[in-house]
Amino acid sequence: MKNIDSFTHLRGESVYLDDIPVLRGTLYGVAFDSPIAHGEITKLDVSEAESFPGVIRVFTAKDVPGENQIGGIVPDEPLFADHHVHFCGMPIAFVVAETEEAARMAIKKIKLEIKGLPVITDPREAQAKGELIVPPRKFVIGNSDEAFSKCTYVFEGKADSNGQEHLYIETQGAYTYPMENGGIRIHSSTQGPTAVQRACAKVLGVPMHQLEVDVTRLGGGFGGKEDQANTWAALCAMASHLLTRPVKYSLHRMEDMRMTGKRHPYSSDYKIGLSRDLKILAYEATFYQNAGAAADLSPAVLERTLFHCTNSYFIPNVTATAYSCRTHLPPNTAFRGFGGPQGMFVIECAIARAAEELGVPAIEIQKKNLIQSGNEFPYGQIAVSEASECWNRAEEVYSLKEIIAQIDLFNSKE
Amino acid sequence: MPICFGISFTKTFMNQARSLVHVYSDGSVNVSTGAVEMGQGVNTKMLQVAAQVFSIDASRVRLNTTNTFRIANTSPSAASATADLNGRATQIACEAILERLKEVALLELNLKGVTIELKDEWVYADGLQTELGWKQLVMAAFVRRISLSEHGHYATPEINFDLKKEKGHPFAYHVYGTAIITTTIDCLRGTYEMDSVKVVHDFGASMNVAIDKGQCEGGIVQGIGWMTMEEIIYDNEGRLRSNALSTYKVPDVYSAPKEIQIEFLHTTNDNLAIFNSKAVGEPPLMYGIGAYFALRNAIKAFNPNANPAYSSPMTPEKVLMALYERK
Repeated sequence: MKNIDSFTHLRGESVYLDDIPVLRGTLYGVAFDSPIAHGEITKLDVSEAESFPGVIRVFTAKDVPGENQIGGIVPDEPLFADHHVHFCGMPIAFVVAETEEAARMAIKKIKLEIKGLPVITDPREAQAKGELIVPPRKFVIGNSDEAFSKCTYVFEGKADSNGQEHLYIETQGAYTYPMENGGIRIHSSTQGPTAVQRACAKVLGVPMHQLEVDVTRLGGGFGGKEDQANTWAALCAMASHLLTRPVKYSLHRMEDMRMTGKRHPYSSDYKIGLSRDLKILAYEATFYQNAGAAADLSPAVLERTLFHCTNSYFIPNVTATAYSCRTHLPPNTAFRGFGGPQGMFVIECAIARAAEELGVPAIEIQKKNLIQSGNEFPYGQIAVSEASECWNRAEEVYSLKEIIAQIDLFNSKE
Repeated sequence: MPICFGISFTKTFMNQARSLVHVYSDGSVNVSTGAVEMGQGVNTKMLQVAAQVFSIDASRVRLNTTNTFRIANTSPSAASATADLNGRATQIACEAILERLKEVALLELNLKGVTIELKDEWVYADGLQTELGWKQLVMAAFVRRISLSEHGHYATPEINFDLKKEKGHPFAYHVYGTAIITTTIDCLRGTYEMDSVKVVHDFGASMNVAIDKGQCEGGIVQGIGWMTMEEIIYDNEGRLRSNALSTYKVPDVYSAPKEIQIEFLHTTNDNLAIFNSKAVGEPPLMYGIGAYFALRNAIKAFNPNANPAYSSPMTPEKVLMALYERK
């Protein structure tokens, strides 16, 4: 069956946040964000911005009617910076005006002074300084220490993977309007309507039943709108609540890239031990996750890195440790794979390294160690595996031997 | 490049979903779930579930917006589990309505002790087609004051995890697959092309081949982007330098693999996926990791002395440096 949206997509008729017809009297908001990654706010003067033509109000931390807090797993993320800023792009004020242009012009009139503090961007440095979001996690199966002593080959090394921008085609945004008896209707480009409802209820100090969150569809999410849609919805909902006017904020691409978190960069150490016949007997990995300035979903992402640290392989002795490190980057967040790819990259580096040192193709090690039904994952679950079925089928239907022969031939030419 | 990915939220309590199904007196159906459509095609799958359970034409079913006044306490659309969780909830809701409709059919047909089925919009009694169709059946139920609405609730069974021991059975099931990736490097410039990505992917029994294939292809390209050309740069002051599309490059149609082949491994093992159609959102992204190692192999074929750091993304700049690296 065809995707039911294919007709409206093709004709440009599918409705996204920006396609919702606006009500008369709609106001437009724009966030004013920190230009400094870490510091203490010594002066914040919004009076000139507030008197700019067309501007209705400029909201800051002191205007929040409920709690100035949107942290999901850990309450460590203020909606508005209050006294301190923890990352470049952290919202400090929200300018609401009759037009988007007026709001964007008025932002430049905000006077801000920040006393800079030391900036950490490297997760290993953060870990060394004890800057952890949550206590470290450790998954253990067997006894890797003992097993390494029985290995014929042991290799150690470091593997780093960088972050990734979600780059959903539709940027973040929200459109909110007051309903009767204090209710608010929230259109949000979010993967988590309930998360938006919960965060807005907290910020507004109203029960969740007052807030109707409605989502038609997103122009992409990829995890970037799982937790991080809350900020924009909360800003608009708060302005709608306090001004009893419809308020809309649809981020520009560069605002979105600057102010939102991304896939977590990881820096990792590995140690891999193999028998003479290339069975992986032992594996150790230590993951340093660059969480950014607040927890967001980092603890859950960290956990999935551990769950997938052995990828598709059965390894009887594994010790995997993971640190969620607090740095001064925008809080990193969910991204398709949710920490799993970062864990899998490291074991693949370890295997590639072993293969290169031993002068064998990596596929030989990979194939020999695929997890089989009945094998145990490091977290105790027993596998019902299709790993070898997929591998063998790929070898067969795509004629792997022939592909390799063609590559070798190509590479042997001058 | 083999992959294995566990399906479920690792926070066990999040593995729950609800669906609200209304059958209107004219036989049309409206479905609301906690699933958010973001291009992944989840609404199409939800529609298929309702159409399949009722055995009615897909055109009778409409998917509604995701709304917290209709569906409360939703988990986010994430963890590749959206179709499984919300699909199961929809299935439960539709089956409950279907059971009531079958009882109405018995009354309408004056039958007892026979097996009623709905097939292609007709009521069958003990395998024989009757004169009672979907629309008449629904109207009869309405007139008999039988509820034509249901709120289905689903919570994934079996899963658990003990945080103290870091052991348990956190995933409903795993998704597997293998990709073969080939690449060609321009050894003068360090630029490269992904020639082909050939995959055998474990779909279980795919309920929508076109959508699942689309998810695979998109995931592969996004994964390759992460491993090769997408380079996020923060300076030491924590300022994002790759802050626009001019400084942050994602794969476009020219840098996507020239060829992507997806072979469906059709497995019949019973699993907790909706209609045994395994989750497909996240797993294919990880095939992209293979692109990194394909590039590494190509570099070493040209320059056996090269030993670039294991650091992704493998940008053309890094490739160029490695091609001419000396020991």
